[in-house]
Formats: sequence, C-alpha cells, structure tokens
Amino acid sequence: MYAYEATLYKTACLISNRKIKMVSEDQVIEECKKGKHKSFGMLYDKYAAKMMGVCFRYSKTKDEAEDVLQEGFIKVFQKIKSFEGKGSFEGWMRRIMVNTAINNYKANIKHYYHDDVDQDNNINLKTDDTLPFEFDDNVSKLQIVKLIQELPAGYQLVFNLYVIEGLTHQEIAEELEVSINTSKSQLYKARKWLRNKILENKKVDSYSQLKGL
Amino acid sequence: MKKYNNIDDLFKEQVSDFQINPSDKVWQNIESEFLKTNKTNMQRRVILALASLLLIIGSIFTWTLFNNNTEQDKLTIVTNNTEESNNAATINNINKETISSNTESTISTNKSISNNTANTESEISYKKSNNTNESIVNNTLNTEDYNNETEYKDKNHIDNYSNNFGINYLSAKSNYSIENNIAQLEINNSKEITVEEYLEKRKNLHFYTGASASIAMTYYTATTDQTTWSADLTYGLKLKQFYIESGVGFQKMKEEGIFQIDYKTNDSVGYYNKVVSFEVDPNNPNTITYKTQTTTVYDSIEHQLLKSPLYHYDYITIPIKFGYKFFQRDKFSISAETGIIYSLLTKTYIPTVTYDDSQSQLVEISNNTQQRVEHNIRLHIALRLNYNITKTISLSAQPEFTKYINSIYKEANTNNTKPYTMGIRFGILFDF
Repeated sequence: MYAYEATLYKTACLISNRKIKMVSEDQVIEECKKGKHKSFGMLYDKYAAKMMGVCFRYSKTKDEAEDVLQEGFIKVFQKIKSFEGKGSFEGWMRRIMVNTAINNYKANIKHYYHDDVDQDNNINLKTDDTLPFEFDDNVSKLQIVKLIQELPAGYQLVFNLYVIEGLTHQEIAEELEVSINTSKSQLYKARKWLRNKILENKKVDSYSQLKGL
Repeated sequence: MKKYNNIDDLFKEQVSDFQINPSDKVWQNIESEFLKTNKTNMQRRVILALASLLLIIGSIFTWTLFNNNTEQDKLTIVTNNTEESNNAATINNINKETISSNTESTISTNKSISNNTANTESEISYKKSNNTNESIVNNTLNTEDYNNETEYKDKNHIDNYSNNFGINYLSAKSNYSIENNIAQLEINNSKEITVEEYLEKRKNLHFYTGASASIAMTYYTATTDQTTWSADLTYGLKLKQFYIESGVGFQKMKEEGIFQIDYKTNDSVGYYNKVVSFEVDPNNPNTITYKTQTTTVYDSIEHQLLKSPLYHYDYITIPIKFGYKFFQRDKFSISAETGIIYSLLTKTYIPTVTYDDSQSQLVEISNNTQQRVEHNIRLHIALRLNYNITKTISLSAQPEFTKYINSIYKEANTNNTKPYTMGIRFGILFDF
C-alpha cells in the first residue's frame, strides 16, 4: 500500500551543488499538488514505461498507445489534487490509464470490426482454453503483448480487464455498458483466438526448424 | 518449455509487469498541452488574485477613512446643535472642580450657573452675579496649580468660548478648556476656511480614491476603427505636485472579424448556336442553310464573400500611472500623466456567421480572424483636468492616448498589430 511505502526511494536525483538529493514519492506528489513543474517531470520519468506497458496492451499500435499514455498522464496531473494517498499511487494511476484506454476504445468503436456476440448466449466456457498447456520460455514479453494487440478490439478489452486487471464480468459489463454474456463470450473468444495463434506460431516455428531456417 | 495451468496464467505472469519506453514526443506533448495551460492558468489566477487584493485593500482603506470622516462630521453636527449644552457641561466641570476647594456661597452660585447655562438665560445669570464671577476667578486661579502641566492651547478658542458666555476673565488665564470642546470648536473653525485655503494646506502626502469611465476610439489600421469603453476604480497617493495611481478596471473592446464564405452558383458561362434544322437548296445542292438557336451554357461557379461581423473582447485592466500637477488656479488644476496599463483578456465573444441564399449553394465558411493574445501592455499618456467641487471631492476630465506595446494578435508577424486609442475619461476623485 502506498501509505506504507512512503519510505525514501530514488524517485529522482536533483543534482544541486554537486550533492544528490533523495526525494520521496510523497514529496513529489505533494509538490505536484502545488503545481511544481519539475515534480511532474519526475513523476513521469518514474511511471512512463510502466504505464506505457499498460496502454500498449489496450492499443493496436505504439502510436495509439502513446496517445492514450499522453491523455492519461494529463488526466493524472489534472486530478492529482484529488489523490488522498489512501491507496497505491501506482494503482490509482493505472486505473486512470485503463479508463482512458476504455474511453479511447469507445471513441474509436466505429473504426473497429464488430463481432456481435450478444446472440451467443449458449457458450460453453469449459473448453480446452482453460486447460493446462506448455509455452516456450524464449518468447519475449513484447511478443506476448503483441499477441494481445492483435486480438479483435472487443476481445482485447475484455481479456485485459478480466485476466490482467482482475475485474469481474459484472464490473466489465458495467464499465463497457454491455451485457454480462457479451463479456463472457468476448473472453471465451479471446482465449480461443490466443490459443490458436500460439499453436499456429508453434507450427511455424517447428516447420522453420525442420527446414533449418 | 514452461507449463501453465491455463492461458490466463500465462498472460498474467508475462504481461502484468510489462514495460516499454514511450518516445520523447509524449512528454513534449504533455508539456506543451498540460503544463503550458497550467502555467497560463496559474498566471491568470495570480493576476486576478492581485487585482482582487488591490480592490479589497482599497475598499477597506476607503471604508476606514470614510468611516472616520463620517464620525467627524457627526461630531461637528452634534457640536453645532448642542453648542450651548456642551458649554454648559464645561461650566459644570469647572464648577465641580471649584466645589472641592471653595466656599458654600460659590457652590450655590455655581449651581445657578450650571442650571442656567443650558439656555441663553445663562448669560443673564452670569451678569447678574458679579460676586460669583469673582469667586470663579479665584477658583480658577486656584486650579492653575492643578492644571499647570496643561498647555495653553488656543487663545482664540478660549476667546470664542468666553465670548459666548460673556465671561471675559476666563479667556485670560483659564487652563480649564476641555480637550473635547477645543476639538469641537476647531472643527467649527475649520469649516469656516475656504476650499482654496484648504487645498493650499493639503499639499502634503495623502491618499485618494476614485472611479472613472472612459470612451475611446481604437485605431486598428488593418480593420475599421471601433469604440472601446472602460470603467475603473482607482487608488492613489499624492505628494505635493506628484501622484502615483493604480487600481483595477474593466475594458470592453470591439473589432471586426474576417469570415470568408465560399459558395457556388449555377451561372451562365457563355452560349453556343445550336443547329435546330437545315435546308438544302434544291437549285443549288451544294448550299445548305442551317437554322440555329442561341443556347446559354451554365456551369457551377465558385464565389467568395467576405463578412466582417464584430468580435467583442472583455479585459481586466490594472494601470500604474504617474502624474505631475503643473497648473493650479483656485479650484482648477491640470496634471500631465503617463504610465502603463496591463490588460488580461478574460472573454471573447465570437459572432455567428450564417449564409442563406436559395440561389446558391454554400461550400464553406472559414474564420480568418486573427486570434488575440491574453496579455497586453499599453503605454498611457494623458492630461488630467481637475475641478474641486468640495474640499475633498473633485471631478476630472482626461483626454488620453494609449498605444499597445506588444502585439494584440497571436500571429505577430503581420503588420499593424499594435493599435492605439484616443479617448476621454471622466472621473470623480475623493481625497482623504
């Protein structure tokens, strides 16, 4: 929890008079609340990469992720006065990023391909998508995230919210203003799509190995 | 190969802490969008806070001084209305002092004085009792020791006081003048001096406040000239011939906008002779006679129309002016004044432009009006003609000229971006 993490850490080093001054996150947030520009920069430096990782999962391209990140950070800076320090600052920031990504999805929904799954009320969720399977350790995290990026937009959003953020179908349904069944079916299709994609990649890899490529 | 219970676990483990650095342009955009706006908002807030502070301090200052002045006025009025009774009180005080060290006969006489001084009969009673007067003299002399620390304040006041009651001997030596009565009499006396005398006396450092309104013509050069009006509350400090003045004001400006309307009409672009029929001359087969009809050709023609509706701009202004009074005769004075006026754009009213013509088709309405900057500074030069209608209140008329020092438009690369204004300001000033 943020309140308990308030010990000094290396948020940033302010080099003045050849001395390195350690600043706590608490201090940085308080300075941001006062509108100190330098502190906004320090906060950005600390969290930009992490939050970019979040935005990346919810976007189709790096440019789109950067747009979401930019909008998200502006919201964080604008609302930082409302942060009371009751929870983790990172969690609070992450929530803003996710909400920004959801809003971005809603704004661009007309550009995405729609798979109307409201009709799929009889989905059997106990398919082999929830069964154990093996995965190559050598695959980088970036490649895995890119798999999520390749998911159709609706699947991508539900998969991220359910699997990574840990929201329930009820919460997702309320957030995205869809039915619970829609959320469930989107998740089901996302899992199936990802498994197929991984298997496809495996086959390609095996073929490449056989060919000595 | 690593085994996962399900696909969710794989992604949860691999993706939860995924990090990737954004490009530098993200921070640059955040800086330009948020931090710049934040800075502007901060600047605006600081300026408004300063203006408000100035207004509040000025208001408190004005109220305090007005209040004091009102109390003095009340005191003067009270003194005028109850002059005799106050004086009677004075005599009572004298009597009380004398009682302590004098004979019974004096006491009885004093009683008669105090009873009678509440009306004009007091003088009669005084005149009738010579003995009593003597006793008062004695008593007064006795009390000299008691009051020997008190200075002889104002002989004239004592004379006035004494004359009112016909007790001449009191004016000679009595130190029994009570401070309040002296003060009251001083106020009475001060009323008798003329405005000119008062103005002559009031050459030292003092504050003043005022309100003014102005109307001016703004000469834009690029667009047509427009009227500008403003209203100000001012506070100032005068020192002999010099003064420094500030305050807060509201200014309303107008300027023509530039809107370009592109529309199309189906217009004639020419004509041709359409062959309707032809005839072959039977006698001369080589000759063919054509019958033609003139036909007009229409095409879609693009037109442009410029419209110049008025934009309105609201500003908050904070002037700092310095002046020198170089001429004064009686109640009239003339001062030369210069300074700078800071103005902050608070609101822009954008006019609505529509195009409605059944004979043509609207293509586009584009707004080419130059956007204004938020902060401006003007040079101010004026002559202040002042006329004192009372000792403290004066009216002023002020022909003034202002010239913008910085461009009023965001695109400062164009010419004629620093207009000037000429106008007149009328005000009322109150000197403390």
